[in-house]
Amino acid sequence: MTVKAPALELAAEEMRPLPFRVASNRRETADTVTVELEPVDNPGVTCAPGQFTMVYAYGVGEIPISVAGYADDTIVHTVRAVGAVTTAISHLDVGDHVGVRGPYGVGWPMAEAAGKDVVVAAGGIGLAPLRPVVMHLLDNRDRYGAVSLIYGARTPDDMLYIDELQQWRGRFDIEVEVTVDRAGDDWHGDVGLVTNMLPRITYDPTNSISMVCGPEIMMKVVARELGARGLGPDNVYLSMERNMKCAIGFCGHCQYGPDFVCRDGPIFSYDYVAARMRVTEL
Amino acid sequence: MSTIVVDREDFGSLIDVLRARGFTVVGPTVREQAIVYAALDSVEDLPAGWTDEHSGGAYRLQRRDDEALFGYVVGPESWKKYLFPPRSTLLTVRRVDGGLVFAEPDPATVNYAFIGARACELAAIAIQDKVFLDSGYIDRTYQMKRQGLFVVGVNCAIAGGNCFCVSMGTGPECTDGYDLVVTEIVDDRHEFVIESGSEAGEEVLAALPGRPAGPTDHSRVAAIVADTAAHMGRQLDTAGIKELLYESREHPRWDEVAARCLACTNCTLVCPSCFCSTTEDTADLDGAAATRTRRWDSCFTMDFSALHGAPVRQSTRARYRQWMTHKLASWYDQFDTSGCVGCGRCITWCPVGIDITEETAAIRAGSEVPA
Amino acid sequence: MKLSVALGSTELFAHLTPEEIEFLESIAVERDFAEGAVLFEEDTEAKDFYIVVDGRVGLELVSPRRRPIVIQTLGRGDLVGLSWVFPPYVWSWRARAIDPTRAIAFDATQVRERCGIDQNLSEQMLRLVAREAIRRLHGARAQLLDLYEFPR
Repeated sequence: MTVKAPALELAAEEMRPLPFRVASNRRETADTVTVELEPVDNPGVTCAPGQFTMVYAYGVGEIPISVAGYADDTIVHTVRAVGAVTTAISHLDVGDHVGVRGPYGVGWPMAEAAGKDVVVAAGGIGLAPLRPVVMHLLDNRDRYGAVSLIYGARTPDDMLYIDELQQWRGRFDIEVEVTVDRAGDDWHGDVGLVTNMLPRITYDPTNSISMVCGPEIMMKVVARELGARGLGPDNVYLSMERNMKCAIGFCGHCQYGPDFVCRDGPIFSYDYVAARMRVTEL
Repeated sequence: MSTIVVDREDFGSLIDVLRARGFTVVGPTVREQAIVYAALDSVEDLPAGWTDEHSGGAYRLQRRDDEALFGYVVGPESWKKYLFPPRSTLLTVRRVDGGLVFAEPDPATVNYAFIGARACELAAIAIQDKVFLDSGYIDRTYQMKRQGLFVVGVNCAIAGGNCFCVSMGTGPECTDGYDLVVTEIVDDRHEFVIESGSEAGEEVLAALPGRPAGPTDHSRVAAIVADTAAHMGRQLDTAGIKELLYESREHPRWDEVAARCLACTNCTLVCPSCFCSTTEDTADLDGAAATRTRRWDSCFTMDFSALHGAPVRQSTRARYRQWMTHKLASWYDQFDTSGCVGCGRCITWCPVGIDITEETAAIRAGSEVPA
Repeated sequence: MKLSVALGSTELFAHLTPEEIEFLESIAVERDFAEGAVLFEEDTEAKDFYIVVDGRVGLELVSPRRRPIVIQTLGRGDLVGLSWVFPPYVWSWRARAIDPTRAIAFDATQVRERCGIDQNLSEQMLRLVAREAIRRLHGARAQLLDLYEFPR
């Protein structure tokens, strides 16, 4: 035997995106757009509600974006322009190309929700990761009990998916309550905290599951109010967010206590993260 | 597995044999008043007659009164610079007919032979193996370097002023993760007890000139290791350390250490187990090609936790807490091991001499978690 | 009319005696408000307070220089009007129906008088108002925090 390095089987190219093309785009708010991406010469990806993908903008970089929808092989992402990559993505035209890796992460507990009432609670851009939840619930309506969506935004101009919200409000198999913090006189809807909507909707706190997404403080307020109304923290699920560079547990950025948000999350039950949510700068 | 004893005059054949078998032999050598890891052409490149003094924020090479080749502990570098390079290309992107073509370059196939890896460093390599090979995904760059690797460990014959491998259960004796392990003996004779730890090591050993080791040689090795273990520069009490740190997130000591910490990132860069990285994107001026590069990052930088344009961990207090709690506590949950191997580098290369063992003790002193 | 039926399981009734419920029913008046109709104006005497049965009511701040600003909306089961509990019994906000709204009105003077001689009713009414005031305080604080904005 001669000592030499063994011939290597190279592992899969985990960091290589698949090419996607912008099939459509639509402005949601002043700084937020929704893009629909279709695969270019590849079979696309299969997503579950709550997962995210890494979207690469040529020469600028790559960021995690929650899956806001999927149909056939396309993916829908709603992106708020806050940094270089999100700004680049928000400026893409139809036909422009990006890279997509993923999807990654543990999604919303859709299976656990079967047979239960489902309270979907969203704040601001946090409706994006919950949009596939609502669509899934409506597509499989007989698997679930009462279904409701409460949605809070800062102003009416900050709300996503206005047309769809309108459609959902018109249905009899989902209760939709929308509220804003501040409104001009053209707003005919509710004003006040999103938790004010909880008494309006139908759910049996002893047999419900809630899925909450928004900034951490909003999720905390909602989870706390759900608890006060008898929906315990083990049945309340949140979508956490941290900086991510790799999405596969290598880069270390997304650590949240012992968890890698990319791999162990982004969806966690409230009872699992409640203690950490009381620690600043964690 | 067998053990032989090689004279100082013949020790160079180890490097020659490995080079002849196609390995790129790297090991300790003196550069700019430090012992660093670099390519070795021959045994003459090893730091003969040098030792190193370590204390909080201080490192200095000193002459020994003998010509020992491994008479020092650890330098500012660790082997991770080879297995997990400070910079590597993740992705190349070409723009072709308006579309994007992505490729991950095949990592360079270098077969390294590490000469002189310490027990703590073998433990660090085992930790990074868990991160990059064994946590669900495989890092190709690491995999390529790791699989072709030949490791010659060295049992430490001295302990440095900042060493605490005994506390962390990683040394000073190499017990695992090597192909060959060397114990250097300098008394009336200068010789090396070399033991194989793998089939590859056995095969290299057979090509070395030497005599079979006897019971006396084994007991000399044991005595050297025991003496080193008895002279650790520091100690760190690891009893219940995960719970201790998880329950001490609001401990006032974090404010105290943050007042001294410069958030300079030195500790994370010299740490042999720290694995965090970030990415950089560049595009050619002609717009036809772009590159994604991975480079070492540190949880002490402000950008590290940036979210929606602002860092989650703005204060140095939060960043130091993150680093130490990760290293000594959450690492257990993530990888079933401590992230600290007790090499002491973070103490030596901290410009203000912050000492992880002292910080841990201070947090324990003000806590109710039983030791 | 059965108040408990109209109002569902409003917690108020859980701790009232049958006589107290009977009293409230005797003074309760069901009123319907068209969209845009005013339940009460700001800076006027707090005569009647309401519990919403159906529809929505907005609390508004009236400003001479701009159109009314809705600071909160109230819906089914919500108490409309807190200022009747303490002197000077003057409303701070205007309450206006946003949708066609049905609400039950209570004469605040009669409730206060009865509370003066009925310690349990007094306690339960104060609890009702205090719980609502705390809830609105928490809500207002959360709104101040810009709940839906990510920290920058």
